[in-house]
Amino acid sequence: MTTLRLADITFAYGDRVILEHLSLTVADGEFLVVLGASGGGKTTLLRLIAGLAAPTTGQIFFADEEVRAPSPQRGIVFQDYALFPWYSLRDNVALAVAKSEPRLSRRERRERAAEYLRAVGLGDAAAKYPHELSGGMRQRGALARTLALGSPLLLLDEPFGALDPHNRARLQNLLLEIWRAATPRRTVIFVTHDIDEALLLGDRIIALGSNPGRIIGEIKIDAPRPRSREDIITAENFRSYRAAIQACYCRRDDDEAVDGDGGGI
Amino acid sequence: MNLFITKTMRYLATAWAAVKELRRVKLWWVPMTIGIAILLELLLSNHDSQPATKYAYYRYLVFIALAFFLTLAVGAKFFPRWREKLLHISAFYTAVFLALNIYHLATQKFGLLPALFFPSPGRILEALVVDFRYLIVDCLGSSAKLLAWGYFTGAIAGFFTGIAVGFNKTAAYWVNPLTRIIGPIPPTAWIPIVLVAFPTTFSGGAFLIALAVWFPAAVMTGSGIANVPNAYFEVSSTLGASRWRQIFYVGIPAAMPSIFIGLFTGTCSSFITLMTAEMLGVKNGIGWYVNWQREMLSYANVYAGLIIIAITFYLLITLLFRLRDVVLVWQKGVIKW
Ligand SMILES: Nc1ncnc2c1ncn2[C@@H]1O[C@H](COP(=O)(O)OP(=O)(O)O)[C@@H](O)[C@H]1O
Ligand SMILES: [Mg+2]
Repeated sequence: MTTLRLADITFAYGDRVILEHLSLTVADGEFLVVLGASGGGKTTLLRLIAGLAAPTTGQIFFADEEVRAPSPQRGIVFQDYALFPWYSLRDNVALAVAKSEPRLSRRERRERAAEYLRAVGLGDAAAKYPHELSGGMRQRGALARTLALGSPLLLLDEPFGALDPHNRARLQNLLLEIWRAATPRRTVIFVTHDIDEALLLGDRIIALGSNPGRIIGEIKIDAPRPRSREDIITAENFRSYRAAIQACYCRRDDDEAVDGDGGGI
Repeated sequence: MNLFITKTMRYLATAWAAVKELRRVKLWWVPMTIGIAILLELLLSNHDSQPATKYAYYRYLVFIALAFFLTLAVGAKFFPRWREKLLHISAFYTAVFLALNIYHLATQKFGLLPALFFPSPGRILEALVVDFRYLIVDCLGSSAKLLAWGYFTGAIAGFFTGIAVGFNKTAAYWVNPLTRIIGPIPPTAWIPIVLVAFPTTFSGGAFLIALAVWFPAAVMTGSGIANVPNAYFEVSSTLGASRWRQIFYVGIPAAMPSIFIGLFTGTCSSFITLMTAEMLGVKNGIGWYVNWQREMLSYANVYAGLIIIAITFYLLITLLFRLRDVVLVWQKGVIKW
């Protein structure tokens, strides 16, 4: 069943076209990865889906309703963590709980918030303020806050981009665990510029070309889960997926030999 | 000649050793300084330019101080925390008592300064003690009432003006030019108008103080809110926050550091306004007392009043700093000022 549908959307800042004629449907419970180079319009795409900006032309539908404004139905984890620095981790998450479970008392909300924090391994840091936390902890906090919203659609904008490889691997596992444990599964749109990450996480990968941003390829990843990081580098099927993705960008580079932005992948 | 140099060198070495020895006994610096002050007070006779006081207030003061710092120094042997504290404050209070001693010598003992304008510490203390009840209950009480009315009215009005300007374009359009024109006028410049326009000098004074606080509070609240990164509002809107929640959960907390800067500026200018208003129109309060005593040429009382003012304002500012530390724990270590 389709939950999200982008119907021929275009987005421009003034004369500058960022996204062009982009159409896309995402199924319920799907883990979709959007892959693209920096400055390619990935964040812009997520902002449109979140309702923080409106497409110049075209429409976005979520659960058969047109997206017009931000809603807790479409939770987003921003590229830079955007936790509120004036609240402790627990209070940051409690804000989201207040929206998803409005009938709880203040104390119950904080308890629920603490549960979400424990789920991302931040149980001990609940009373801390963002400035007291490392980058990885803040990112987990932001994830916990968005999870606490209970939104059926999760938008993740390069959430692990700023982390060291060790923390990144841990958080990737954590995200997959949380996604797979929930019934019904949430729909996830995960943005990254890292092919390995895309292969590890996605049911499907959308390759986004830049200048202007549009879909230049789409690969369905049929490999069973959990996937091992080693397989992603060495196994035969992943090699062919990788080659297919790279082919999308190469083809594009040939098309417009002068402006080979997508080659950065 | 050679002998002379060797001798000098030896003296210098001894002096240096003594200095090093002094550094080792830092805990005893203050008692030692006070001890010297007491010796000088007891050994030297008073200069007759300074009128005599009824009691030897200066002696009381130095003896009490001696007892206090001796207790601290002895206690430091037993409590490591006391020791740490005392080591920290030692140099400062040594300087304080040294300065007091020098002033005492210059006035009471040698009469180097004109006695009319520079009363000895003993005379200032006498003025403080004799007028204490009047200073605290009548003068300070009256000033506190005026300051509190003006300060809170101004701070609250400034806060709401700032919020309106920060969040509402129409309010900004109408109010911003007003704050820019009225704001920079020193509140005390209004005194000639306010004193005739207001029914009582109290209400006029309170209005002036309110004006003094209102301007920085409004400007800093408004600019604090205007400078909140838009990302925070976006985040809160994806969390489903309504407009009101955005104001109370994002805008105001994010603007708090800036609001406190406004309050500090406002506090300082409210003190200036309070003093000026009392000296120029309001017929009571600590500022009026200082001015009145000056007219009567009793400078010991002027100093006594100034001491009360200094202590009070110091306490109020400290209180505001504490409040800020509590409200802004979330940015501890982020911003220092
Ligand atoms: N507010 C803005 N005004 C003008 N151009 C913008 C703005 N925000 C982003 N852009 C441009 O849009 C393009 C896509 O940005 P973005 O969606 O952030 O890319 P990505 O997330 O893939 O790195 C970039 O070239 C960027 O310069
Ligand atoms: Mg981006």
